[in-house]
Amino acid sequence: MITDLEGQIRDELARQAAALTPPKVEPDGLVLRDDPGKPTVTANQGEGAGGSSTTTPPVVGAAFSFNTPQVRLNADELTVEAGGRTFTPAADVTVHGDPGRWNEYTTLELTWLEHDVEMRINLYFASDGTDWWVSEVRTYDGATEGKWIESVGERFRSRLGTAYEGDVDLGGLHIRGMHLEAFRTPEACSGASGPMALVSGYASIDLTVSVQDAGRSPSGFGYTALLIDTATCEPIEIDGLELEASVADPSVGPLSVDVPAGSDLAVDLSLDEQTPLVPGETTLHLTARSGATGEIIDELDVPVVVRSS
Amino acid sequence: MIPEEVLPTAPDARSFEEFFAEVWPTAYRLAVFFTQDASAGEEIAQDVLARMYRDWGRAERPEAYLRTALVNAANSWHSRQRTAERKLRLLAGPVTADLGAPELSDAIAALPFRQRAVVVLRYFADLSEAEIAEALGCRPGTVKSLASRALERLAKEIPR
Repeated sequence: MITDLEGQIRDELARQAAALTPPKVEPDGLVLRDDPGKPTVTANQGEGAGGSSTTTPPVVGAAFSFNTPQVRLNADELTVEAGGRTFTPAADVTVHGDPGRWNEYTTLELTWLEHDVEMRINLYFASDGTDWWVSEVRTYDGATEGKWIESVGERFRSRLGTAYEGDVDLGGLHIRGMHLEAFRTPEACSGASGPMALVSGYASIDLTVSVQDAGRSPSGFGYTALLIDTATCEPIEIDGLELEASVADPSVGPLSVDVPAGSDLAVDLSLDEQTPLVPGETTLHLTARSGATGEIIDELDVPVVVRSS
Repeated sequence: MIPEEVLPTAPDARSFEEFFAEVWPTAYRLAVFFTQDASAGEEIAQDVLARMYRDWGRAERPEAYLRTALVNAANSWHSRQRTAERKLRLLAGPVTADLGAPELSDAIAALPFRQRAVVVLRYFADLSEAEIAEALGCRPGTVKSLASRALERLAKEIPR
């Protein structure tokens, strides 16, 4: 019976919670674990001299180019000086972005291995609906067990729909010829074939599972998309919408796809913990239909990569 | 996406230190439940609270904002988790082995992320469907559906 099961769940979580002793942390110990001191940004931090905002297309053929649906970072040079070494995101860079909230919050997160350690660069973006800016920059410190070096403060303020361009020297982070766009206008807003369009929150879905955990460890991804009014380029309510989702090659992972009834354009992908891991690539296919007529409103394909580690 | 009503709009009367003292144990446990990883859970809970500290004074309902931020951060962590060696098999490890319900804890751990989040928020945090919907950025009907699927799956996987 569900009631018994719910009681068991409640008891089990309570027992586990009791066994989890929160580490002692003081509020003032939370902030700036390793502040780099007084970082400098040689480009402007606002709209004055130095860097500039532009509506021109991004630099073609930039040496570094990292993209999510929300953010684009191009640069001629990009290095992190940390732990006495120089890190450059030249190969096998994992690019992730938290879709966050429409025109309010998003992130760009780069991860790569170099000098046998993991290096990361995280940029946190905010917007007031008129301008966007970077509110925080982080890198790892170059140690084997990487710790964050954080720099909090408003930088690169630009109008929504425009890019910031300039050079950056911020602690150990050095960027030359940076072209940075955030809260990018979805491509569906220019040239969409219909009045509404599905806009993916993620450029791709990466699932990494430890080989030791294969066949028993859970791994999942809460995927989200938006439905956009292509005339106003704003998200719209999805009442009366039906969402269908499937993966093209279910042998990869193997992945299961779950679209709850009344879904808010959110899909759970999970690896079947009973089946051995099969790394590979597949595609998540989404179809949005009108609940009233069954007419297809839009469709979307999102690459899915399952890796073992 | 977070519903508009979740966003902070007016100051909270408490100091951040008072708020932190009240929420830290629960925030830490929620983050560990969401990630199934003790060290990642701690880092996520600290990160989220550090961000709230920087913006303290803007939040009208900081507990709701905290829950939403924890869910989002844990989901992001799942998507980019690379260092599997750091992973502590918390729920299958000696801690829960002593607690006598490994099948249930493993089954909860194996739920898809949002189903697990609903189960944790409902049965650990005792939140209403509306509050869970806020935290997940979805509608109450979706919470009901996620909870139903989670319970079905758990019922199948634990011995009766």
